[in-house]
Amino acid sequence: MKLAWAGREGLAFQPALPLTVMGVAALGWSALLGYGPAGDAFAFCLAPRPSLSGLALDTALLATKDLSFVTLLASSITMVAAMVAPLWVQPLSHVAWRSFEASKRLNTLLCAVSGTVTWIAGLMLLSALAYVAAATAAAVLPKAIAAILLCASVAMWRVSASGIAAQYRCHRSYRLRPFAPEAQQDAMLFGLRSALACMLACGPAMVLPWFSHAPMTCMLLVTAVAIYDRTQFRPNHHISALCYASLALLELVP
Amino acid sequence: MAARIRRSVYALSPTGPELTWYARAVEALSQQPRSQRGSWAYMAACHGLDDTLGTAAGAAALWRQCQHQTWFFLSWHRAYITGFEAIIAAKIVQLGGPANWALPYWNYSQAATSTLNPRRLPPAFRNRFNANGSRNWLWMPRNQPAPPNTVLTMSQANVSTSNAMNQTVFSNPVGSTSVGFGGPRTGPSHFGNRSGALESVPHNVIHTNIGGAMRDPDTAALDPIFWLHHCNIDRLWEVWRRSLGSAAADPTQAQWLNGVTFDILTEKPANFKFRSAAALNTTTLLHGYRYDSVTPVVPGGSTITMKTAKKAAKKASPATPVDVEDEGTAEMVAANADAITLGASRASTSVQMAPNRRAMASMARSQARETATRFILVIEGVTAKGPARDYRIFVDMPDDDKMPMAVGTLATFGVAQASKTGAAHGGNGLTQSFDITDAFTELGVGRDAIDAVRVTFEPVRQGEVEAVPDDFPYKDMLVKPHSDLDVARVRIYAE
Repeated sequence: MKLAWAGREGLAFQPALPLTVMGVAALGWSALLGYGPAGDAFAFCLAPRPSLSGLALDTALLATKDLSFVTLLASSITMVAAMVAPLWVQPLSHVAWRSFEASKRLNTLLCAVSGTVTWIAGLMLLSALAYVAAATAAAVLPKAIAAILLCASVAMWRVSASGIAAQYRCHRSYRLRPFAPEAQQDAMLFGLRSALACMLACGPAMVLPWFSHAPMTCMLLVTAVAIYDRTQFRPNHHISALCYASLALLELVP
Repeated sequence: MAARIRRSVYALSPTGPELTWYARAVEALSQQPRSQRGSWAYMAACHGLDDTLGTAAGAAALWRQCQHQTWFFLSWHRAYITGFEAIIAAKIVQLGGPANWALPYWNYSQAATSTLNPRRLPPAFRNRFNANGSRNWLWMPRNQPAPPNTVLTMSQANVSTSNAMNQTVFSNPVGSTSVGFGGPRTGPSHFGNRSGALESVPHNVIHTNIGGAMRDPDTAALDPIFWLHHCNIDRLWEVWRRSLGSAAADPTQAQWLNGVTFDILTEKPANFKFRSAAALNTTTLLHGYRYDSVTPVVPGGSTITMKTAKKAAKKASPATPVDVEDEGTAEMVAANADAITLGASRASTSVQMAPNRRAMASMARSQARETATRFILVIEGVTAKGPARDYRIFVDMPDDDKMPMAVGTLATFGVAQASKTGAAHGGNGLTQSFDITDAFTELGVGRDAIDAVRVTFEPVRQGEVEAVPDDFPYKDMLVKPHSDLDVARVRIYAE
């Protein structure tokens, strides 16, 4: 199996690596689509937003009562597996290609664990904020309008100088020392830094499903755009932004 | 109109019409402000321009567009210099000169004779003043020759085309040990990552060998010799294509052929919308041109015959390029521990073997069986804050009595641009790889148990830039001191 995009930016082609990562993503999507055994937890992601009325502050306070740590954790793990895992082929290949044979698996694993934990923690925070924001917005704006405004904001972020710079940072590679224990430290640090940069670049898009009335479709499209951005050596920022803006159309469909 | 014939500058008289009219056009266009479309500085800005100098109305799609470290390097520059040729020719006609002016090329790789050393800067470009005392518009402050009062001469190593001409594939993925003749497969790239074989040598090293404006992509095209240098690079692409036959040599991927449209400046008011497919026939590109000679030449005067080249192409078919990512057979067998900084002095780094030695043992067995194992030295993450020196690279084994083996030149043209963290490449810097199999064989690596290999960086000695007149435009840019170079990692792979 050849995945050309596994090799962008000087990355080794490690067949097991993209297969593993894609397997994780497939599990995530299966769970989201099929509502498997863990369905109750991540159904949270797809549940209709509460339709509350009253003052915005009251709404926010009420909304937070629905949140629980377990729910947030489960939904974040699922979303990271489904949406973020496909983006990790390159950073992990980067680490593998720069590791000695004996430490390749360990270094790659450490990078993956550190990046995933960072993403899950970050997404839990983002989700909590988004949940509150969605509930608050629902109190003061028609839901579709809030979603359309957010799509426009994400599109603008994507083409803004800061947004583009954030993406370049996300796609940056780091210097990895080859010998233990520094090699393991660098692998973990690489995972952490990549995840933080990735959240800054793509985090705003990741909250879109919270506002959309078609969150699954929204998640699929956001993932597709993120993969496009990641796999193109020089992505066309306007194409990505247009895709995000077009998500607003979902809100116009009854 | 018949295609123009581009001729060797050494076949032209220094005071003949081609170079005289070229100088007059440079003079006329240099009088115009940078913001004026088609002026000398405007054309140079299309290649590169310091970010702090802003842009001009309508120039956003044209300025800072030069393609480097990408498979668009050759096609973009072909269109760029052909557009330039059209502008100069139009200006010459306007000044009362002949129609059909063609850009000469400087073939520094041509074999020297008893009366001609083509590695020397062509005579028309050497002196600040003409014989009648007037300013020579083809002169620019460049590196002073050594010894003084001689002529700036390109080093023998820098004019070598043998590595480029030995390539049998135009392009490989960017992570391959060899990215091919034309550069790695990328999207549009204004610097970052890895140069193709022709771009590395002679292109990059000639830039720094000449020095002055030429050593920095942001000013390089201000030097009139830039265009003759790139004309030769363009000619060498034709030489290589003819050696292999275009069916074997040309990229077939849609992404290269028609996937990217570039805006190119010509003498016309509208930009020329260029796609790389249009570069494959020089006689139909804009006004059309061809070269007076595309005979394959390697240093020493021997020629690559069509038969030899085709045989080589067959041996390593483009369908099965040597490609680390696809083959998955390359393994890192040695690396240095920390980043190193290179300055004006020689510096070495110890590249230590893999801790478990399994790779080296396998390598030794492989050599004993005389199976083909290639060793690739990868210099990664080369960054600098400004233009930097080039370095000759040597490998040797510590504590033996053998001389270090030269394996190539670390070319730094464009390193500052590749180090900007706000750019698309994320400031990852340049990466260069060298096949060191022969050097390893010579040094006996693989036969003996060794702990480390020493890699030494020797700065290429070049004279300081000639004195720049006070009223010279861009003076500050021309006298920038050399920046130190950071090399993130030195690694060796076996495949």
